[in-house]
Amino acid sequence: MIKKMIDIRICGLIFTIASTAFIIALSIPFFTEARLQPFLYDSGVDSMGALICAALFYGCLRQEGEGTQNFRLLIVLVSLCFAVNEVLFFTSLVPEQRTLCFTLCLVSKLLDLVMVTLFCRYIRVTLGFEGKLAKWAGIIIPVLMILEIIVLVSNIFYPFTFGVDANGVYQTTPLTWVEDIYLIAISVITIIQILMCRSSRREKAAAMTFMLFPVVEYVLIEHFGNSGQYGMILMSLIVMYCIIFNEKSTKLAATETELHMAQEIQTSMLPSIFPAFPECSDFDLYASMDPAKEVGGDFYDLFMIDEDHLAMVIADVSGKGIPAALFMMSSKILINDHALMGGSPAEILQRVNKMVCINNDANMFVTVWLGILEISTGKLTSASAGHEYPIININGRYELLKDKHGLAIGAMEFSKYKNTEITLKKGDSIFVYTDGVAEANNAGGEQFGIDRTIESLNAVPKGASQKEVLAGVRAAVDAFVKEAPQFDDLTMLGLTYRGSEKGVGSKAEQ
Amino acid sequence: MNIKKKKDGNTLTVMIAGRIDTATAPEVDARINESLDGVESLILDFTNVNYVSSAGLRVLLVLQKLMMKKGGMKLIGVNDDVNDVFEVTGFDEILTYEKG
Repeated sequence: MIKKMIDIRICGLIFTIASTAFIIALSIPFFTEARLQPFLYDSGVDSMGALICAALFYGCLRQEGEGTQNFRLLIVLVSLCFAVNEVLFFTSLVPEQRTLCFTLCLVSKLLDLVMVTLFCRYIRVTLGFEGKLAKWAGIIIPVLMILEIIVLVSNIFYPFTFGVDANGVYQTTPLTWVEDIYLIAISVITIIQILMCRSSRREKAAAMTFMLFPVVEYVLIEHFGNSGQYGMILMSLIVMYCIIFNEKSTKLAATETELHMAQEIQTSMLPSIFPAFPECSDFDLYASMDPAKEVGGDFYDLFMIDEDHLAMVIADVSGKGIPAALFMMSSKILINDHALMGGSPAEILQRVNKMVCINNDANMFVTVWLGILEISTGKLTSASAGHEYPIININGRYELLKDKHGLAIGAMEFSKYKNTEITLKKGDSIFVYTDGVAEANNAGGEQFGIDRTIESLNAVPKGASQKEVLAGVRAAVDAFVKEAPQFDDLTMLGLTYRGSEKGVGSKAEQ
Repeated sequence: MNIKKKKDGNTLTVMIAGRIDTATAPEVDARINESLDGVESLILDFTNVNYVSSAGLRVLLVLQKLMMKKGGMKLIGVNDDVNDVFEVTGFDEILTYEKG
């Protein structure tokens, strides 16, 4: 469906460009042929107009929203009118091409009709015009339109309102004014719409440039025997484009600022001053989060449950943007609250899951790894709610710890979680992360992967601080990804156990 | 992303090909949901699915919850990479699927 839409748009763009090229190519003889020279100026206007159409179409190629489809169709029609007009000049004053000239005149007039009607509709949709008057307009417009078409087509049989004489010259008749009835009626309706709609003044003013249409039309017809409605509609469209889209982009900029603020609030929620617990020298702890451009749902948390227990959390919310950020906030607070209430990591996650599930109509979920380190003994108890496997270093090398997994938090109300226990000796480390690390893609679409993650951890010189370890992994990811844009948040947390000063840590080694 | 659907009585079989991630998940969701009227058994053919992100898991979760009330849902032809994702996230506990 989306693909089809783009195809139609591309066709429109190609058409406007082709139309411009066609008019410019056709205008070359206008410089030399005596017959065409009086139209040289008009031909230039046509080329210019068609070029502006192509540029304008390109400008709103990716615009979405009410009336934009209509807007693009209008541009294509205006461009077509310029092309028809150009051929019209080319065929005029040639007796043999009388029929073609007449046909083109008729087509041009019919196109005018469609264009003005579409413009009226566009104004109604964009500016939002409703009520009784709109209903009346909805009846009057089609009736008048059909009458106008009958009048125009009847010229094929008898030069009722216009004709092309034997010399190929366009001729008006005493009844030509009949053609203008529809134009006048629809102009009046359009103007009423503009005046009565509930749009902002700026939008109204932009649409009002359309009011110049009858004036310019009058001047052009009276003094140059030429009509300029395409030009006027094009001008109105440009002014509308500038003002309406400018307003939209102002709103967009405001949204972007808000998103940026949300990201700042989110980042400031994470502990970012290291060492996080300067009074505690029993471990080296570091964590980092590099959000992707969009507000994401990764987070980590570090806090002391009591004097002997350190809690570490790393989590990844499904989805992105403001919903993910809100869900992240509530999950983070819930985990923190429930951890402080006590219990093992599995019990804590079970309680948090229940709380999250109660009001989770959006069906969002969050993968969480929660580890509680008993500082005095080095015993690390952890539970995983669908989170990536931790990478541990207890034998001198980093390797994957395939811990017991429960379901991501928020997915199902009665999920059960299991504790995994390991004991850290002096110098042992643990590294937890989110999928942004292993799933970082290079330009070729290849993933960094878990093996490269482990490799990069092992490549860091022994005895390096956790800050350096995390920087090492980050550098390896960057070197792999190169210039491909960062798609997901990159969040990591690392801990090295230094052993308890109280000397109990040695017990764990046995 | 390529989605083919086949309806046989009250069984709907959906063949999905490609990655189910943030970009494609809404389409998968919409295409399946538009055909769920009267369906009691939903079969998702994952033979040609090579990656499922968390956005894709969310679609599966919503479908699973919905189909639990209506009948059942089953995935077939799940490859190793996707199976890994299911196992890591714990989705293997709630989804019924066959590896392929």
